Amino acid sequence: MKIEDEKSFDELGDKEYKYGFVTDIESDSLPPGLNEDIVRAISKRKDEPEWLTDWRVKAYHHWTTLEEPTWAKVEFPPIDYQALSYYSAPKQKIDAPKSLDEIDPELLETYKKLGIPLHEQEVFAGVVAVDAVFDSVSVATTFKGKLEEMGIIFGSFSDAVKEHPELVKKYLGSVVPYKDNYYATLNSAVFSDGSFCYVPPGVRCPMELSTYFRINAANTGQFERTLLIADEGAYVSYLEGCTAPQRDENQLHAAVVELVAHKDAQIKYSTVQNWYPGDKDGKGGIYNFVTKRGHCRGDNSKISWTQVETGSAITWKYPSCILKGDNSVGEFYSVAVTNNMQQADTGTKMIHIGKNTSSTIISKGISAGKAQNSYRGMVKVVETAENARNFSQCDSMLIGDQCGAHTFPYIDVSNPTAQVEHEATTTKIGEDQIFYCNQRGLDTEEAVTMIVNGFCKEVFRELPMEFAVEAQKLLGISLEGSVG
Amino acid sequence: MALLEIKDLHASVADKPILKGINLTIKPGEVHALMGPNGSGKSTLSNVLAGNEAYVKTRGQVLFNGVDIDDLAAHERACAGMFLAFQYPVEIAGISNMYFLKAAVNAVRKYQGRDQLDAMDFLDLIEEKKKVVTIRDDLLERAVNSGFSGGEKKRNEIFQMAMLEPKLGILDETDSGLDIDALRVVADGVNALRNEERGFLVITHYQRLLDYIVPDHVHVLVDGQIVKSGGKELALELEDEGYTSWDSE
Amino acid sequence: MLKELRKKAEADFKANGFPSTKEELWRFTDVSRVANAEFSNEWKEASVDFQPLDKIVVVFENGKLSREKSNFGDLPKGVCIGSIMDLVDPRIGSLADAQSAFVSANTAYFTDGAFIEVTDGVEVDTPIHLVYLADADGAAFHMRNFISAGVGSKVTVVEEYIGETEKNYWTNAVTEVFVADRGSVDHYKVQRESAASFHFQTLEAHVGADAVFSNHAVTFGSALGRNDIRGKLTGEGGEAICNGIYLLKDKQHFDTHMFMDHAVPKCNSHEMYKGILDDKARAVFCGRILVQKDAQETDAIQFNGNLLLSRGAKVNTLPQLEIYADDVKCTHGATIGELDDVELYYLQTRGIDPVKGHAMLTFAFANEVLDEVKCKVVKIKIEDLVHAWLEKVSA
Repeated sequence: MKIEDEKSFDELGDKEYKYGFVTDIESDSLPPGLNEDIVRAISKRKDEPEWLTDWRVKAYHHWTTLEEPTWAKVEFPPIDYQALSYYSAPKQKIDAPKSLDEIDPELLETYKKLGIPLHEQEVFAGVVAVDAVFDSVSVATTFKGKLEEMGIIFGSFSDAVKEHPELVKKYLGSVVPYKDNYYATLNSAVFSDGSFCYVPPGVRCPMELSTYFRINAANTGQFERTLLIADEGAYVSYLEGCTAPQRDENQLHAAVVELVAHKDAQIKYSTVQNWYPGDKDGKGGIYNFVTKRGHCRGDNSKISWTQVETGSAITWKYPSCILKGDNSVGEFYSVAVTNNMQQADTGTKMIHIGKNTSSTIISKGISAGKAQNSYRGMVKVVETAENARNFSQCDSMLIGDQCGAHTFPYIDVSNPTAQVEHEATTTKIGEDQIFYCNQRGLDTEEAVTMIVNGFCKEVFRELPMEFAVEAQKLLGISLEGSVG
Repeated sequence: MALLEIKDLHASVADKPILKGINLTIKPGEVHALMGPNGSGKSTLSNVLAGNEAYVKTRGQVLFNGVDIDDLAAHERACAGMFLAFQYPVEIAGISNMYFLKAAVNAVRKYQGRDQLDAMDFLDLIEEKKKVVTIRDDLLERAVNSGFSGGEKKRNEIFQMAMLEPKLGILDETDSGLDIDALRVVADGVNALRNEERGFLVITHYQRLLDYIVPDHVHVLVDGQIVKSGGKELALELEDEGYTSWDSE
Repeated sequence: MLKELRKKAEADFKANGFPSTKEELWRFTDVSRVANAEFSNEWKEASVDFQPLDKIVVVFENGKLSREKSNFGDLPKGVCIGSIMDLVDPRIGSLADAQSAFVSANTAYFTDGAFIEVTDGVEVDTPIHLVYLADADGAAFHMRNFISAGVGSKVTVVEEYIGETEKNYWTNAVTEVFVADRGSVDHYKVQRESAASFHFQTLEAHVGADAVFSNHAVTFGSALGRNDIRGKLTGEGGEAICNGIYLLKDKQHFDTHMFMDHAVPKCNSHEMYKGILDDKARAVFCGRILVQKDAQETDAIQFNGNLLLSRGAKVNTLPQLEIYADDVKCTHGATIGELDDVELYYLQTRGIDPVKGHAMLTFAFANEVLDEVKCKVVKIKIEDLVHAWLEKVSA
């Protein structure tokens, strides 16, 4: 492609991260470092029951026996886990706030800047209930009352531990056990807060539930834990958004999300991840090492993951489905955009166990600048999974000749009635398409955004409307300066 | 004796009743047209007749040459002389059209107690049938329907029909997706195969095909039942009025 | 030089030993059965039947060249065929450089193998048939082959491994292929080793500018086996075709690891692998396409299809793309499944009974690969073998 004016693209590349501001509030942090005392201190500070403290401590000890995984196609200098601070809560009155009015106004201001309207009357015109996790603790949950009337429990993880310990105890670690993997184990030991949701049998959650995560304090790791249960015949759609301020150091985000879908239940989980990606030379940015897994426990259950990953310096994330119930359905729709020095190694696992289970994987990877973008996925059909069906489509698009796009699917089939199809393509962004757009008056940047949006359409249409619009905008922002 | 006799035929797909009591008799040498709107059960009928196991006959009787077809599997019906030209001919990679045809012709001949054709006889038969339905040599060499255009696929279906010399030809919306030239080729092939013994059931949504394959009888299928039967002029009526008059309930 | 190379290989092999399933490249194939076995190298004559494909046939019996059984035909000028032990080329060992314990062991211990050199501009019309006969229980055969096709030359080579049923032995072969600019090597490997044997081979080919390397690997035999097929496109306009069929039954385990390295621009590669598995057989297919940073205008296609005929059969397939250039067209696909009911129905409506239809479609599944076989005599041979295998399986 001929570039008329290289300079202008460079300037575009310098465009700042829109969400990169630091909120100046006092936070209450534990000293850096990780040992059993810190783990106990976190638990104590959160006033947790003994079983949970023990669970954390077990996880911590197990963690000390593990090594960081190295199989992903990402490179980064070793993380000094002892230099991180494992707990940072915005300082506030001893008693938890009873309503939004009691929340630190500066915090609210932060959310406003993030474009998250926290005030109830503003919350997406009343269709979304938001739980916001700021650094490590859940700040406020809107619409809690209204949901309670329907028997839906939605709020911070900490509150759930206090108010519904039996539910937390029953489900915590039942999908992602504390021994699961290096980062999940770390999370199990030190998780600070997160969201909890339980939808009772037969209830269709009438609004989109939403959590916004934001890392604010420096040198903090954020380890939230989300647990979402849809009981028999329940339905819930859940949105998760992430942002972080611009900092020169890398920050670690190691979250765990567990989903449980009982008989006839459906969970739709959407993520727009826009953590700070680092600057264009690769300085700073979030290490997003996340374990997300859903368990289709009952017959006819369905779990659908949709993710738009535009941020983070490194993304290491494989939202997965265990299809245990007969006729259960797993879906994974993903857009991963990497630009500049970003690295993403993301994909999914679909484990077919029950009869007539089916899964769909649609993955769109866009790589620009000097970024590396990998799809890594697994489809496993065990012997019991009669008539399992899987269709996977993984497409990669390359913008510029300095980036890389990779596809590593693992397909493992042990039942002859299974039908598994995998297709992958890698192509360059179409010069003729760009030219066509140019000729119709669009500049190259606009043309690229438009073409890439088209490329991702199959995934965007899985997102709830408000999110889809935001995702498309984000895509444009993260690809700025990529053409060349 | 009637070639095909359908009595009070009911059939379901995935437990959903589609055909709700069809009665139809085709005598040797007759061409019947079955018309109807989308979803009326046209393709279901052709699949039930051909023996597709996804379509379940729930009631009634179908006699082909006086024999109840319940007792016959799909390939036995084919061997007995029933030919279905598919609406969407199936692509089979890895089997050449020639090989496929030879296997089919010999399977039918074996069933009918006739000698197997050797390679030379088979090539002679191909040459003979190419005079009836023209088909390019390269299409015969390629894998069955793989990479064929819509028109080529339909032409291949008619060529197969010529090769297998059935007693009854069922054309399932053979005209769908064809331009006027392709339509003419298909119709010419069918007309060339018309004779005193062979019957045809031409299933179509549009009257257009019937300009070229002129039917003896026309039936209108709506919601799984034949609501009207008549001569070829009925097709023209439908062309003018559409199926709306049966839609109203 | 070769001497040093062999010494180093032996040291490597002794130091590293056999790979374990903890290594990503060996994750699905456990070779401890080979590692724990003891092999002798007492030589004996082989009494295994074979059918020469054409005039030129080079026979190795139990690991040693048999001049009596071989026939070098009337070789055209500029073609050299012989034992690798008699002929010297500095390029021997330069490609297969300690990628695995198997290659190291081979380099260290190879006892014989074919040496084929075709000089610039020479075209060999008859396929060169290399036959490896094995029936020595408890033996290990480290066979080393070297094939070099000069500029603008053309040659067809068929490696055929035939083993006596139920003999227990280990074939560990390495074949290095050099295709110079505008050259063409049409290479086949037909593996019908004893059902109790171990068979491992690494094939490494370097393909020059505007050259063509084509490989078809057809596997029927061995209890445990693996093909490592590694192609590198080193000159612009080069083309590599690597196809294969594996037909496995009983408790056979066969692994195909394919690696195609697009090191320079404007090259094509295509790979089509089809597997049919019966009983409790297990197949592994890992196909990796690497497009290096400057390899613009690469066109690479890979497909792996698997048909499971029975409960208990198992497949692991890992098609991989690793791409560092942007102006590329790369696709890969993989399928695992049963025969298509719609196709069976279509055949049935044309009078073909389900049993016959099943056989036809199973053959058709493999036939897509056979269609790509250019050498007529080889094609007929493979077709017959596939039919025979299918008949045995359906019986």
